[in-house]
Amino acid sequence: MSAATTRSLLPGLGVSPVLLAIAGCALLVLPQLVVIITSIDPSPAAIFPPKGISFEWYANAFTRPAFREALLLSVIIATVTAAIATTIGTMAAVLVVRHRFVGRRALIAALQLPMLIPEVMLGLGFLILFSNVGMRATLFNIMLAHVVITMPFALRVIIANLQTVSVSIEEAAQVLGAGPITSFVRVTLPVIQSGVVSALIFSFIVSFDNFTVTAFLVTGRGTLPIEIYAYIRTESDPTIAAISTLLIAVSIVGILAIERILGIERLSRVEGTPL
Amino acid sequence: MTPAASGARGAVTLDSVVISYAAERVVHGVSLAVAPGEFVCLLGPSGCGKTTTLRAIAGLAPVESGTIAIDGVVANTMPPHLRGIGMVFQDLALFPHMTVYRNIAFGLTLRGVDGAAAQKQIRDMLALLRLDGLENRLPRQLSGGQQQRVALARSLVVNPSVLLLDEPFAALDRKLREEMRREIRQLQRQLGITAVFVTHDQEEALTMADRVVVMNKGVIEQVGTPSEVYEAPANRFVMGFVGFSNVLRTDAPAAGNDIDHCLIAGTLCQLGTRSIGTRSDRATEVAIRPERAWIAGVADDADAINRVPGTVRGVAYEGAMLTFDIVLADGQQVLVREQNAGRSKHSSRMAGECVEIAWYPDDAVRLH
Repeated sequence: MSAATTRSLLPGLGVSPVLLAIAGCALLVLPQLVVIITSIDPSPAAIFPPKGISFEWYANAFTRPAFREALLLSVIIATVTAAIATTIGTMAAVLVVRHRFVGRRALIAALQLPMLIPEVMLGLGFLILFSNVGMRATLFNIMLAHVVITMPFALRVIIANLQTVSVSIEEAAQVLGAGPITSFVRVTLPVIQSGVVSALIFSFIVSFDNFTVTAFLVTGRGTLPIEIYAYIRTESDPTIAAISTLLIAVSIVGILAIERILGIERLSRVEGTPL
Repeated sequence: MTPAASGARGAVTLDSVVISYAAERVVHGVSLAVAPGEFVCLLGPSGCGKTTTLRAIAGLAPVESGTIAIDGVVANTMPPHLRGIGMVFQDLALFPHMTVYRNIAFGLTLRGVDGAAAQKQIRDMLALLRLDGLENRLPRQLSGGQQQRVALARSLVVNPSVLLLDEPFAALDRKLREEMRREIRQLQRQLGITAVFVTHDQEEALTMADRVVVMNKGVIEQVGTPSEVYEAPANRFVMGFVGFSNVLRTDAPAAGNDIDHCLIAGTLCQLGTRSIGTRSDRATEVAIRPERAWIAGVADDADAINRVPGTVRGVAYEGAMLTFDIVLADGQQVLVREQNAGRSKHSSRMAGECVEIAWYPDDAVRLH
C-alpha cells in the first residue's frame, strides 16, 4: 500500500502523489499566508514581504464604525438567512427523499437552480423584481435574496444526510405510536443533526461572503464584503488584510469547534452494525 | 402460557387483500386468519409479497382492496401509530442516537407511561431479555444478538396485541440465529402474544411456526402446519420450495391401465395410496425427498418397498449426514440422504459403485 501511494507518477522527475498533494495544499494556503503576513506591515502601501511589525491596521479596522456596523449587519443577515434556508432546505429534502411523486426529479433540479445561475443575473433579477413590486425594505430584500442563494446548499447537504438514514427507523417510531411529526422531531431530526449543523454553517458562510447579489440590493450601509470593497477602492493600506486575518482566525476556530462536536456526533450515528 | 395472558387479543384477519406499489400489483388477494396467540410464518422467495403483506398489517403499506382487521376492527386506513402492534424490522431499526433504555422507553413515553411505572416495565423487559447492565449503551456498542433483543424489548414493552417480525435474523450468523429462534418462540409462548413472522428460510419457518403460509408471486400457495406443508405439499411450488425433492419422470407400465404402478428408469415401482387414483397410462412425475430414500441392503423387506438400480456418482460429506448423488439407468439424477452411521454399511460407498435406491411407496408423491 505504501509502495503504491509513494510510487512516482513521472519517474524521470520523481513526482509522487504525496508531493502533488503538498503542492496542492500550498496553492490553497499560501495566498492566505500572504494576507496574514501583509496585515502586520507598518507601511500604508501593503508591501510584501513586510518591512516591520505593526498592529495599527487592526486598530483601524476596529475603530472604523463602517466596519463595525457592516460586520453586525452581515452577522444578522447570515444568521437569519441560515436559519430560514436550513429550515426550508430540510423540509424540501424530506419531501424529495422520503416521497415518490410525479415531477420529483424536476423539483430537485428546480430547487438547485439558483446555484447554477450566474449571481450577476440573479442580483439583477432581484433588483428588477423588488423595484417592480415596490419592495423597499433593503434588509428584508437582502435576506430574501440570500435565502434563495443559500437554500440549495442546505438542501444538498441534508439530502445527502437523509439518504444515509434508513426509513425503517421512522417506520419503527410510527409503529411504536409516534405520529409523523413526533417521529420527525424525536427520531429523524436528531439522527440528521450533523447534516443540519453543516447546512447551517454552509448557508451562513455563503450568505456572509456574498458580494455580487448583495451589491445590487444595498442602499445606504452595506454588508462587510460591500464595505470592504468600498474601502479598497480608495485606500491601499493593509486594513483589509487585517480584517481578512481576523475572519480567517474566526473561521478556523469555528470549524475546529464544529468538527469536535460533529466528530463525536458522527460516531454515534453509525447504524445498527454489529461490533 | 396462561389463559389470562393469551386472552382473545391479537386476532388478525386478512380478507382478499390486494396491494400495489406504483402501477405494480404485489399482493393479489391474500386471505388469512391468524388466531390469538398463534405463531404464523409467511414463507416464500424474495418478491413473493410476504414482507408487503406484513407491512400492510402494520399500516406501512397501503391496501388497495380487501380488508385487514385486527381484533375484529377493520384497520385498512388506520395509521400505523394507532394500531397498537409491535414490529421488529429486518435492519432492526434501533434509534442510533438513543441508549438501550431510551429505545425501550420510546413507546411507553408516547403512551403517557412514565415515572416509576415506566421504569418498572422497562426493568422487567431488560430482565426478560437478559439486557440488564446494558441500558446505557448505544445500539452500535452492542453485539448482533443484543441488538436483536433490544429491538424485541422495544416492541414488547408496550404490550402489543400482535408482534410482527420481518426477517429479523438476516444479519446473524447461523449459531446465533438458531439461538434467537428458540428464544423468540419461547418468549412468544410465555407472553401468549400473536406473532406473524416473515422469512425466506424454510428451515426457520418449519422449526418456529404453528402454521406456515407459503407464498409465491403475491398469492398464498398453501397454509398448513409445518408437517402438512412438508409432508403433503399442495402443489409443485410448495414441494420445491419447502425442502428439496427429487423429481423423477415416470412412464406408464406395460399393462397400460395399471393404476397403482409406474415405471421409473425401466423398473416397475408401486405408487403410494395418495398417488393412486388417476390412470398411469401416460408419463408423469413423482417426487421423493432425499431423506426418505435409502441405499438398499440385503436385509431390507423386498415386498414393501420400491427398488431402482443406479450408479453412485459422488458422495457429499456433511458431518452428521451423507448425501449420495446417484444416476439411474436412464440418466436421471437422484439424491439420497442418509445418517452418517460411522463404520456401517454405506459410509464407505464410493463413486462408480452400483447400488439400489429404495423407498416406501407412500413416500413418493405423484405430481399432476
